[in-house]
Amino acid sequence: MRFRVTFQFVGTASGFPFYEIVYADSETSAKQIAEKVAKKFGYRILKIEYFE
Amino acid sequence: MGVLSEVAHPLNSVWKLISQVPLFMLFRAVDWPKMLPINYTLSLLYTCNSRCLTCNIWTKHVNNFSVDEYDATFKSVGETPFWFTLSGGEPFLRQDIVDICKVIYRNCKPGIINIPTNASLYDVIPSAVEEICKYCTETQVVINISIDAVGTRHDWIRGFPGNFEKAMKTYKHLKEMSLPNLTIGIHSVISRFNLEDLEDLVNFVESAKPDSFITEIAEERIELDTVGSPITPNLMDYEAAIDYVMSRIQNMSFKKIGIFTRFFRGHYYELVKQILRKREQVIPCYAGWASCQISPDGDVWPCCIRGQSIGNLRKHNYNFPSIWFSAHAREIRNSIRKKECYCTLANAHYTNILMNPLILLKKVPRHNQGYYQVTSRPPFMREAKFKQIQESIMRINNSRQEMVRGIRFKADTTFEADARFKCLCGTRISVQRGQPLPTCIQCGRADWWRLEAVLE
Repeated sequence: MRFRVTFQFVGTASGFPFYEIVYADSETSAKQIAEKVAKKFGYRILKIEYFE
Repeated sequence: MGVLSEVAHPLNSVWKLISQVPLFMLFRAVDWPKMLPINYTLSLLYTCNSRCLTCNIWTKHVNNFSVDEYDATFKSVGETPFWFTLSGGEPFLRQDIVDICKVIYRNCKPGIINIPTNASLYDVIPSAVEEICKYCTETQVVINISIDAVGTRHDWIRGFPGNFEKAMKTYKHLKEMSLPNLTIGIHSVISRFNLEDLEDLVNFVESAKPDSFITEIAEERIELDTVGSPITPNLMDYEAAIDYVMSRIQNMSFKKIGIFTRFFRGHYYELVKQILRKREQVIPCYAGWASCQISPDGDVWPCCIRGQSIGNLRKHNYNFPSIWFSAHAREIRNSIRKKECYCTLANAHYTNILMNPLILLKKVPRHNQGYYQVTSRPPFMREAKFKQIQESIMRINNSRQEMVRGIRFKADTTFEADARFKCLCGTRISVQRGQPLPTCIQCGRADWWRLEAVLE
């Protein structure tokens, strides 16, 4: 399943949102992966939505 | 001998400057002794004839400071400033720019006056620069011409048809003048819009042979009204871009102040990478202590990123020290000291690097050993060209390189861990473990996924 996660870059380029596709088997897994990405790269998660 | 005589006065001023470093350290640590800044950025006007994709400053309108107002202000700071940057807007749209420089020189005798310009006013700039250089004999005048790409690509980024051609006319005229205290540089903003133009840009710089070449990352600034605009390249792209630029320019010969700026810039680019990675002040910031900015209508800011006024010169009878040492200024300094902000602002980082001299000592040998290499393919660079550059560089190591340059994965590959991938087109995806890699939804490629990170 594909989920579209909208992140916000926090930092020098603070403010602008962008999205990435997360491929996971459930929304919970997608959320967990998005959290890992956000933590590792310093993003803020704005929303997660089912894509397609 | 030639080089030494060209930079003699700034060198003298540099020694004077270095002697002040411990005092600034004390000022930052314990608020004593009271020091006035050494690095001033004067935003002369917001008006601009460019419509850059990376800047919206031209939308602002204020009541600009007059020459007399600058005169009164700089009388109050005496000869403490070392470095002035006259920015804008387009500074040469001010018909009194020569008078402003004269006022600065008469009151402050700075070591350097730096004027960034889009160089479109080819019939005005050379004569103005000549007059400034002839008046400010003991100051190095640096004219930094903004070039973000070559030809019509530059015009597109700058929103100004014919800008590149006009800038080249100005550049040629300035070069022909050969004034001893004039440094002509090229200045490029690395943004999301010109990553694919870097190779052409560096080729152009090589052939143009400017006295200096510097780059700056496109930033979201309050001053430029760009907060929230998607102009900043991401960390991976920026690292690749700056490594590529440095690897190409490290063997170019620069002149005059360009020798110093390249030295400082090398450290600055390394700092930018660290700042983008860590998202914090990597070295203590001295904006608000050693550097400041004055807006066209007289607001004094510690820097243009925060764009926070600590007072208006018009309301303080043009007495700069009364603003600089006010309680409000102390509050903002406290916030900067507590690292409540961070940025990659180049101008402030010059003073930051100067005030943290250990950094300079630590990294000097790395330049001599050819530290800068092409560590990854610049975005959209042709594969064959990249290989050619790679082959010419002997030292290839470090784990990041393996990750960035390394293996490409194909669609339908599965992994034993959650991971994040990037396609050649720049699209990023995250994939749960056990899930097959898809084809890229953006460009349809099925075999160009590079592993960006394992998510554990």
